[in-house]
Parts: sequence; structure tokens; C-alpha cells
Amino acid sequence: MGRFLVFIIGMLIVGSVMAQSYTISGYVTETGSGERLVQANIFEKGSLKGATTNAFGYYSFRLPSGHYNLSYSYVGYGTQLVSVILASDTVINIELSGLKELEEIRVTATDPEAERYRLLISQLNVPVEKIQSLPAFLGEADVYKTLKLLPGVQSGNEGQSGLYIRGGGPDQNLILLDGIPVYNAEHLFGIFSVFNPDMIKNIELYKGGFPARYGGRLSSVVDITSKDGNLHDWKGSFTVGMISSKINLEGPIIKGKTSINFSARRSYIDLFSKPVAKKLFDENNYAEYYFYDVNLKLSHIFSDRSRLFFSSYYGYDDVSTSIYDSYLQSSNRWREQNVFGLEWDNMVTSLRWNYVVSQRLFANFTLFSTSYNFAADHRYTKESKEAGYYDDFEIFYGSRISDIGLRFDLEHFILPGFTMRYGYHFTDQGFYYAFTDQKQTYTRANLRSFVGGRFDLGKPWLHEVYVESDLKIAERLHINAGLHASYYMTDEKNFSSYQPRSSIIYQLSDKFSINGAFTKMTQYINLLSSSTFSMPSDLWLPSTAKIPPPQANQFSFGGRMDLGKGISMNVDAFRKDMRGLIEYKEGVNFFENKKDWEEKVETGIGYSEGFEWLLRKDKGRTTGWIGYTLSWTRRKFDNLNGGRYFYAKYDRRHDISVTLTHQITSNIDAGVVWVFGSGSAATLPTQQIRLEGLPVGIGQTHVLGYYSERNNYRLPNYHRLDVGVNFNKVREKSTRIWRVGFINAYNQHNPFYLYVGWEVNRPVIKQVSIFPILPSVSYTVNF
Amino acid sequence: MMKGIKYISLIVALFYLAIACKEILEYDEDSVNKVIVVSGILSPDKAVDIRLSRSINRFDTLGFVHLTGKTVAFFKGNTYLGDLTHLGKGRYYSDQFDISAGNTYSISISDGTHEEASSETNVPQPVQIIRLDTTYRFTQGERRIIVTVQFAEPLGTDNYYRLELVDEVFVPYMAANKDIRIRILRIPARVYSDNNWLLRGMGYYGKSDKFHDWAGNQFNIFSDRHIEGEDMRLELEMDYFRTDSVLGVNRKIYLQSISKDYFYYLRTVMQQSQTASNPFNEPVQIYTNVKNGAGILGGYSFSVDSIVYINRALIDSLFPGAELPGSLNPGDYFPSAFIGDRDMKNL
Repeated sequence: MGRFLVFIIGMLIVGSVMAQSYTISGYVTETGSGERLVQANIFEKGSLKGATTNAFGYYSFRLPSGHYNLSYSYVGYGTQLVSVILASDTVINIELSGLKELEEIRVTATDPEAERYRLLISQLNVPVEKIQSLPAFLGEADVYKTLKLLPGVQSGNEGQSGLYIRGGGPDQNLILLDGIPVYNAEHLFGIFSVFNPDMIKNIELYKGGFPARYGGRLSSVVDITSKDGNLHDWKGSFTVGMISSKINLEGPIIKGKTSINFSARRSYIDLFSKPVAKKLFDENNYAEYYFYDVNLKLSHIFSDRSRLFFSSYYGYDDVSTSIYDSYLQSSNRWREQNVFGLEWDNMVTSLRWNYVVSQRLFANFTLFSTSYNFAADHRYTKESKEAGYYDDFEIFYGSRISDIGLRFDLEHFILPGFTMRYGYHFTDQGFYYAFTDQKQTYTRANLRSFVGGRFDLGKPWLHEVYVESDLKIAERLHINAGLHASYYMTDEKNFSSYQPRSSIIYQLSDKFSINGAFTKMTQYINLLSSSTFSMPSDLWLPSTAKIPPPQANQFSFGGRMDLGKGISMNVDAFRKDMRGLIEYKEGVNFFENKKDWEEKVETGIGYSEGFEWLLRKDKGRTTGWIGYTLSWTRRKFDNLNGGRYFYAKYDRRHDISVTLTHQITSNIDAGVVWVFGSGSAATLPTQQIRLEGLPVGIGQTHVLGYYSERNNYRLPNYHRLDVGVNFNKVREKSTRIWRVGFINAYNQHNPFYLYVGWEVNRPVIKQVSIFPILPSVSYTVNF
Repeated sequence: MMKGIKYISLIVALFYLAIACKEILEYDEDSVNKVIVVSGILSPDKAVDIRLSRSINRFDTLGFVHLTGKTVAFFKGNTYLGDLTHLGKGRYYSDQFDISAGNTYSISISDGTHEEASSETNVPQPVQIIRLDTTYRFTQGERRIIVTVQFAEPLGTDNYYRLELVDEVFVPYMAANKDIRIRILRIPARVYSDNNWLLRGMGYYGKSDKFHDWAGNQFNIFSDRHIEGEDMRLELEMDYFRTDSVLGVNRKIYLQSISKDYFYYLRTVMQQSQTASNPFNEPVQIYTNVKNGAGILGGYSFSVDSIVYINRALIDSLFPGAELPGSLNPGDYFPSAFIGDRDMKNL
């Protein structure tokens, strides 16, 4: 470590005396809209030096004085070549045009040589255009569905919510929308994510090799950047899908200075289901579900050095059912009604200010708030006016997690190939829980009696600082190293954590590189969820004196090979050791009062290890990838499974995804997705045992369900084929797109859950599948 | 555009007609390895009585398989004491071994040549009941007896307990020759454990938790986790004696010191029986200390005290003039104190 610091200081000194070096910096934006492009490549072929734009589209690097040919490239956009005679510090703002605007068929990704020099260890850039072009579930293109096609990310179970990445649970993923955490990023019980694809500009997925600027989760970072909005022209789109419709509008409020980007989406399952239920039953019997979400982003350019952004997201889900009965009893008319309701919402708001302090120093200040609320309610009423009877019974359960905070990040482009990042993050968290065992009235006039109440489960503060260096040495070696330190303050106990991060890539040849990474991660929150179900009601909880923060150490090693013709292959092997994991104790009921949650959980350790393989084709009419993951995920808790290791519920041995799109003509493209996952683990008593002669209880024989191991049973393998075709038609002022396809095209019955039922007087295990072959269609107009 | 929306509406309607599919899952039950199941609890001054069976498939309805033809070797510590004798139906027995508190015992089950399963347990030292006190109160209109069991919890060792509460009820009946005779019925006595923090499960889980919101601690087990080394007064709320037609009741209170294995086994049995039918409960795995098998080899010792209730009015009416002792000592079979040579049958 000491030698490394000496080396860094030496580089700084060398940099300061390089009098003939000058800085080239600027923004890379999209032609026409002014949208800033994230992770665009700038590359100088002669010196093999270059840079990548940051999350705000800004780049900066230094070169000695001289004549250079700079190449600017970005996935799905034409490459721009700029010739420059460098004799002083220079600002070059570049606009790149989308390939369709150039009337070319999608033929290229980024400059392959530039791509080679990007640090890509256990990191994947999710091609946003693929989200829209792949077959869409019920006509609704989705970010999570696309993420689940990547190696290391489980391709899904029927109705499964959340992301399961490298053996981690859904709470171990840091989901960021414009840098701000989103706690429950799911609509419709996990079938869709809350991210409207129309609003998304860039998605980065980190499964390992986490840069020091990220912290707070063990398993992954999904960093989503939303579009700023068109600075020059009003644009928009309107989509009608099978279960929802959405609209997107973007344009300049002050041309070239201030833009707005707005989108809204609402499902209409309720519009179909309510009339059907009303027709079949009556107006008091119904079942309805809907969600909606709204995104708003405003950006303003004060100057080339100063920009301000305001972004806000709000999403809401509501489920309600009513079962009503009216009957005569003893000549009195009685009415009984059960109403069940679930609702949850997310709200994320941020205000960010970018300031170019100098050509080589980029600053970003953020103020933010994010919250997730959940509520469940069951109300039972029974009344008879004739009998003078009224009974009203209600159970309520609710939870909330909310953060407010600030972030200060600096990006310092010190030398060509040497960037430092520093930052301080502060988060004020609040965890709340409300539970009412029952509130009951026997007459309308009576007082209600409440049992339970609203509880603060903690109001911790989290301080984080980081320093990250990104260094390219001798044109073949690329190192990203840093330290993320955090201090978590709770009422009972304070925790500190020092998390070293390091990643290294060595370019063995023009076409082959190897890489390795070590990261330590600490997570200060837990998601308390059932071992059998994952639901929106899962409770977010802080670390406490009794339940200390989970931690993980992850090693990964891999390589990348260019096979030519736009085909590349990545392999990664990883091992992640975790401690401080929580699981419910045996026998605990998921819906019990969780005020004393610490008494209902066990803490233990776990590990995940595996191998990932990705073959990717980015050039030509046919593009896509094939991913394969082989992995093992196990847990060990002193008081579960006899203290022995057991497979985690999301342990999955094999995971395969094939994702292909093909440009049939300039107006028609098709997509095919096939996924396969070996069966998930579940606990199922597969045997029964009888114990006799024990002097306990009234009966002297115990007949008991028996299983040798927790999660002893494997559900059937999961596999599914989705196909879709997109028909584009360019009109004078708009483009319309029909997207049609079939989800689960060969009608595979994948398991949603199992239960024991009866068949011809014998018990059997029955499997319930919820998604047969489903047509998928949507209609979009871009204008 | 309107045409497109019409098409979409049609497809949406088709979607909502599609219902969830159910199918029987082919499950190869025979592929699951069946295990030897051991049932045996050791106690001082009692014969060794071990039952052996084999697990069966979850959905078998043909009954259990008793294991015969096995050799069950019995050890005290590392000392081989001998083999148990098979009495039939998987019952392996011996009254030749002296079981005493404070020792460790083990069994080895083999087919004569190879060990198939084994298990080990200890028989803890008994903890004496120092005193019983009684009073009563009315709960929800019912008269209930409150029994305070006093004992000194030993310091320095992890101890596990079970309260076994048995009513020996003396019931008169008329024999064929018109004589009035007495039967003794042994009936488990109920303790309202929800009113007792220790029996409610907190001894294991913590202050406000229990196995389940509505379930009780049917085996009355607890650990010394929260009472380590204390002079313990355990208050039990119990049903009052049902006295209308009985001569008396001898309520025996056994304070069993049970082995840790036995405690864990009973705890998981309770949890599983109370939670298995609810999919929102976490699964409960039955604890075992049998290597390569399932079941339990446990141990316990006990101390006992009793409360005696005499229905003097009924006795006087049935046995006029009988001389009764002024008081009965706990542990006495009180009818023998005054019934003399009358028949008494323990049912």
C-alpha cells in the first residue's frame, strides 16, 4: 500500500512538471436533442490514450502538445473523428448522431479499440435500445426483464420479484435512479420494474469489482441514468400496451438552456376486471389492481460550467378485493363484507448541480430524498339493522423507509489515464412500522380499541467518504483502486467500516485481456422477508446492536477476448463470502407483529461462488448475446438446519439466456429470448417419521413431517421462449411502431408454487403455473 | 390508431380468460433416501426402551415400517454395557442397565456388521422442588388454582426443563357385587402457559415472543437462559380440581431436568405441529441427535411434589365412619391411607 501511494504521488509530481501537456475536455451530447451521453468513448489512436464520459456526459484528459485525431464513439451512434492541433487547454463539445438518423442499419457498437481500454470487471453496460427491441411481457418493455438476461443475474422464476445477483437477495442490490436509491423498484408484485424505459438513458450493472464511489449493498449496483430532455425540439411518444399505456414528452422550456422530460404510465387491469366482476357478481364484490408512475426531470444550463437538474419519480400500486354476502337469518337481513387492501408507493426526488471547477475538476452536489411506503388492511363488517347489530373489525399493517441526504462528489482528471474521485455522502434514514392487532367496534357509538401502534424502528445517520483512483499504466495495465469508509450511527451503537476496493485489467494482446478484483462491501439495512415468498410487505430494517451490518468480501477473476466481427467473449469467476445475513427463525409467521423483529431472526453466514460466460455480438444485422452462469449459493446459521450449511432459496446451478435481435429490413426487426434456469430450492417435507413411546403429550406417538435439509427440494427447471417482431413505419412527422409477439411461446408450465392436494383419494404435489402462452402487443407513436 | 386499440382490447380480453394452470407434479418419492428413526428417552431407574422404525414417503398411507433384526449396542460413556433385546415391532429393550443421572449414554445401531446409525445423550442431574404453594383466583369467571413451584436453578450449567403435570383422579364406581371401589385415572393437567412468561417460550426466544400468537407451550418446556442461577418461583395457573364426582385428586408436579437434545426435539415438534399448515410460517425442521438418521435419544431425571385435594363430603357419604388421616403428605397415594384393603385399580 505504501509503495502504491509513493507511486501515486510520483505520478502527480510528474504530471505537474509536464509543461507541454494540455487538457482536452467537454461534453458529448446527442445531435438534435442535446442529451448528454454517458460512457461515450474518446480515443486517440496514435497515443492509445483516451477517456470516457462520466455520468453527466463530461470528459477530460491530457495530451502533450501536438496534432491528434480524436475518435468519439457511443453505442448505437455514428463515430465522429475530430482533428485537433493541441497547443493550449481545449474544450471540445461533440454531438453524436444516432445511426438511424444517419439512415444506416445498426452496424456498430463503440470503437473496438476504445472499448478494450474501458475497465469492465464484472460490469455490464445494459444496452437501452435492447430493452425496447426485445419481446415485451404483455407489451410492456421492462428494465428488470432485460437485466435478468445477463449472466450472473437470475433469469427468473414465475412471478418472482426482485433481482438475484451472484447469490444475493433483492435487498443486496443498490438500485440507483440518477444516483438516488430506490428501495422497492417493482410494480405488480415484481412482474414489472418501476423504471419507465422511455425515461432511461443509461444502465450500468456492477456485479463485482465495485468502484469505491458506491457503497451500502453487498451484491450489486444498478446505476440508472434518466434522460435530461430535449434542449432544442419538442418530442414525445405514446404507447398503448396490453395492461398499461404511457406517454412521454420532452422539450425545451428555454431553447438550448432549459429542458423538461415528463413521462407517465398507468395500468388498466382494473378497468377490465371491475366490470367483469360486477357483471358476474354485484357491485360489492370486486377485485382490482392498478399502478401508475410519473417521472419528471428538469435541467437548466447556466453556462458551459454550470448545470442544474431536478428529477422526481413517484410510483403507486393498489390492490383491493371485496367479498360481500347478504342473507336472511331469523327473519333478519344480515350483511357481511370482507375488504382486503394492499398499497405501496415509492417517491424519489433529487436536486443536482454540476459544476466544472476547472477543466480537470468536475464537481457534483446532490440533495435528495427517497421513501418507500407499504400498507395492508383487512376490514370485516357485519350488520343487521333489524337486529340492531353492527360489528366492525380491522387489522392494519404498514411500514416505511425514508432517506434524506446530500452528496458531494468530485472527479479529478489529473493525468491522461489517471483520474481521482472523492466524495462525501450523508444520509438521514428513518424506519417506521405500524401494526394494529385489531380495532373493533360493537356499535357505531362505541370507542374503538386500538392495539399496537406506530413504532420507530430506528433513525440512524450514515456518513460515507470515498477516494477512488482510476489509473492506466503502460497502456496495458488498468487499475481502479480505492477506499470506501462509512460510519453508521444508531441510538444503541455506532458502526464503522473500511472497505477497500481494487480492480485490475491487464491487456495481454490486442484481443485478449485478463482481470481480477477484490471488494469489501458493508450493508447497513436488512430486508426481512419470508423464505417462501417475496412480497412488497417485506420489511426494511436498520442494523442494530443485536443485528450488526452484513458484510461481504468478493473476489473475481476473468478475461475478455475479441473474436472479431464485433463478437466478444467474457468469462468471470467469483467467490463472495458474506456474514451478518438474516433469516427468520423457524416457525415464525410472516404476518406477525414485527415490533420485536430482532427476536425473530437468526444471523448467519453464507457464500456464493460461480462462473459466468458471455458471448456477445454487437455488429451486423444480428446482434445479441448468450449468457451462462454456473453457481452455488449456501447459507449457515447456528439455529437453522442443525447448524449445517444449506442451499439458499435462490441457489441455482445453471442459468442460460439467449438474447438475439435481427434487423430483417430497415423497418422490421425481430427478437428472440430463451431462458433456462435449473430448479430453485424449496423446503418440502418429503418423508414422514413416527416416534413412539415418548412420555409426552396426551398421545404417545408423534407423526411428523421430515426433511433432511432445509431447502431440500428442487422445483422443476424453468425455461421459456419469447418471440417478437417490431414493425416500424416512418411518417412525415412521426414514427409508429407495432410490437407483437408471444411470451412463453411453447406454453411451458413453469412452477409458481407447489402445494399438497388430493387426486383419486391420494395426496399428490400439485404445481401452479400462472403464465401460459401469452400474446404481447403494443402500439407506439413517436412524434 | 382506434383500430389498433380495438385489437389490443380483444387480446387483453383473451388474456384475462387465460387462467392459472394446475398440474400434478411427478415426484419420485422412492428416490428419497429413507432414514432410521430412533425413539428413546432414558431416565434413572427405568428400563432402556428404544423404538426403531424407518421413515416413509410423505404420501404413504400404508403405515410405518418397524425395524427388526437390528443390533442395538448400548454404551455408558465409552463402556459397552451390552445389546438390547428385540421384543418385536421394532422395540429394543433391556432392564439390565443402571441408568443414573449425570452420565452420558449412547447407542449404536447396526445390521450386525456395519454401523447404520448412532446417537448419544446425557441424563441430567435432577433439580429439587423446594416448595409448592397454592392459592386461587378467578379468571374470566372461572376459579383457577395458582401453584407456585420453588426451585433453585443451578448456576454454571445450561439447564433445560420440562414440567409434567398429572392429575391422579380417584373415581368411585360400583362393582358387580355392589361394593364401591375406586379407580385411579391419570390425566395430564393443564397449565395456562400464556399467563406465564417462562413457559410461554420466552426462555428461548426473548421477552415478548412466543412460538406463535395463539399457540401454547403444550409440553411446558423452558431453558435457564433468563433464569440462570436464580432462586426460581414459577407461578402456574391451572384448572381448579373437578370435584363433583371424585373422591380426590393427587396433582403431581414433576420438574424434569431434560437433556438439551430432548428440549430441542420437543420444541421443534411443537413448532411444526402448530405452524405446518400455514404457508406464511417458516418451515420447521424436526431436531435430531441421531447420526445418519432421525428421531431422538433423550434423557431426563426429575423431582416430584404434589398437591392433594380431598372431597371429604363425598368420602363421608360413601364411606361413613371411615377414619381419615388428619393430613396427607405430598406423594402419598391418599386412598391407600384410609381405604385399606379395598380394591384399587390403576387404570
